[in-house]
Amino acid sequence: MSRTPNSLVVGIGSSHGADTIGWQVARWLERESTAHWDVKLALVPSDLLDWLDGRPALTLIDAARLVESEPQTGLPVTFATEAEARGSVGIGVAEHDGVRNAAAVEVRAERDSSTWWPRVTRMSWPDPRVVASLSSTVHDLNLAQVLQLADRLGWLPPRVELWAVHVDSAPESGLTDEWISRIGRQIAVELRAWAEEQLAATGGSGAAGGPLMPRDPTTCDPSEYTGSAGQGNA
Amino acid sequence: MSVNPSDRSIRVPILTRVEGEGSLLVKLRGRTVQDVQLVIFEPPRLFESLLRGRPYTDVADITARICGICPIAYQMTAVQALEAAFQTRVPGEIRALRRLMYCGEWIESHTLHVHLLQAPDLFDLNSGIELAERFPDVVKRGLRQKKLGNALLEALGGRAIHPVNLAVGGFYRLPKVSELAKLIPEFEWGLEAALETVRWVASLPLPEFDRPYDYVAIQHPDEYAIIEGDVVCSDGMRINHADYEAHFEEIQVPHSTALQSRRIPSGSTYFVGPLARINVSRDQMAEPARRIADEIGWQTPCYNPFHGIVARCLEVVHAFAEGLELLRSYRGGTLSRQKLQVRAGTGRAVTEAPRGLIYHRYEVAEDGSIQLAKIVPPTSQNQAQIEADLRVLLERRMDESDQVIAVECEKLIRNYDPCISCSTHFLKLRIERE
Repeated sequence: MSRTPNSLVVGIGSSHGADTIGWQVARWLERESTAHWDVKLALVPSDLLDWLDGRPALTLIDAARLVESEPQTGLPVTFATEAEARGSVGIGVAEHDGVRNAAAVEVRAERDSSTWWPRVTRMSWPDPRVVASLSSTVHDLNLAQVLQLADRLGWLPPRVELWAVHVDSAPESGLTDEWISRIGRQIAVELRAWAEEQLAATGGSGAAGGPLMPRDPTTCDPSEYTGSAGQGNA
Repeated sequence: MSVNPSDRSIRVPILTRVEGEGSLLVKLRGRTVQDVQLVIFEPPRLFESLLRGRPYTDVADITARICGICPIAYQMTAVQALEAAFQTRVPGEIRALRRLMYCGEWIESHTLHVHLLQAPDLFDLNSGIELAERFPDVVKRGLRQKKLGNALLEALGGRAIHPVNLAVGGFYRLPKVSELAKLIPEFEWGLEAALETVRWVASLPLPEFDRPYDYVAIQHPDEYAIIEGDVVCSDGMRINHADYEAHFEEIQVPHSTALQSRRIPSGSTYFVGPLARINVSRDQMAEPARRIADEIGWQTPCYNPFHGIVARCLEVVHAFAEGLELLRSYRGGTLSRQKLQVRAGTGRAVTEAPRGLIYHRYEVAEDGSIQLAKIVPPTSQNQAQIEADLRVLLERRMDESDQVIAVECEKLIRNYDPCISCSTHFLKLRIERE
């Protein structure tokens, strides 16, 4: 019996500064388990085009920052929501008409001025916030362009999730191991839940990698995880 | 309707599909092109300074970070310059693997540029995404070729981006025969796909823009030069690569954080890249590349930079053909690295990066630490030539609207596949008419 390939987790970034976040979280997920997902590290988004080989799902983890709109162009802010652009804490956009899974996830807002806490936004392709960034760069191919190209070629899996870790005010030391693992656990919970759904839908034969791990309730603090697909957030 | 160019100020904010960030400023006074500046504002990356005082073993890993598209060019030139400093030559099988590795980078870089950056221009499309809608099979074929280039880099370099396996003296680890053998069927497909891509590109209408260029590239008596050779120019100049700095100099211009290169003593501009290479060494390309060039009736010398897309496609054919030959002949080996005699000295090397000739010089202390590093990337060498081309383009198309001029400037610039990140190690366009 042929087995469905594992889903693919891709950390996008580099080994430098806050840009390491995508790689660090992806490596955490690789250490955690490779039963249901394979992990790759991309330096540039176009790397993805080499790896979309019939995978059922794609999870992307990338550092994100708020970009001021360029006055000359009036281009939208990359990865930013209106609420963020106004400077409020957290993610304000819960849904977009006609776009599945557009709800945003806030892992944790800033608690106090002395401690930096990461904020994580989860988006599902096609998310207008990602699509909006299509023309906002002078670099050759940004992530949104790569996803759109793959979409045009029919290469995108049905499920594409982007976890954007906001690094605007990240300290030079970057994220702590604690926060890398918190973000990693959150993604793992999502991936396992999705794999369970797939397994159930295929009568237990669709997913590769043996029995699924049960959800670990300690990895998901309801007070911090305030949204899920289509549910909006607090 | 023609426009009066004497009383308008035009700003076109973004020039796209190039590597890195910068802008283009065009000043027109009446019907005269007053100034053309490639304004490169990407901060200087100071790699040469960063290398000073570091052990020679760090150089390949650090220089690889100059570019995510062509790290092999920087690594290869660096290790070969250091080998020259240590008066070491690598054995033939190591040298063959290095050529093979470079073939992977040419395939990966050229196929990306052809399919996603330059080909959309030929259909007045805005992006590779639009090209993919119109020619999905062509783009899929191109991306599969690119993937094979990356697969080869991964097999030889440990990973496709910023490979880690190239060492001064050889490689840290030789690939297993099986690791390379499994690429052979894919490369057989790749060669056929590359030939089809040449036929497709040759069927497209390319703009006329002939100019009297000085083409500069390296040339080798026994092979299509990739990793070593004399530096030659289409005007007849031939020098040992060690004399490069006596014939070419880098100068600082106020509007660019990247240095620009000129010839010595004339101060004239010159052209590096695939078109330069084929113009000086067409007869040394692999047989399938020569055959397909003849089949499509491609004439050399070719002085039209818009034919750079044909040159790139021909070099992809060459890279697959030579790569296939090297893959088939690989028998493994026991010696991955030549023993080095670390000593004080100066080493120089030239190789052919996908975008053109690249030169490195290192001065090394007795303990192997780097005292001085000089890195001249291809885009720095082409920048002044791009500005010269833009002047001619503007003179020819001055009566057209600013929007049309901006688009045509972008197209011309993309012929060179400029990598600004490397050279600051480009682009918003502003046109001022007086």
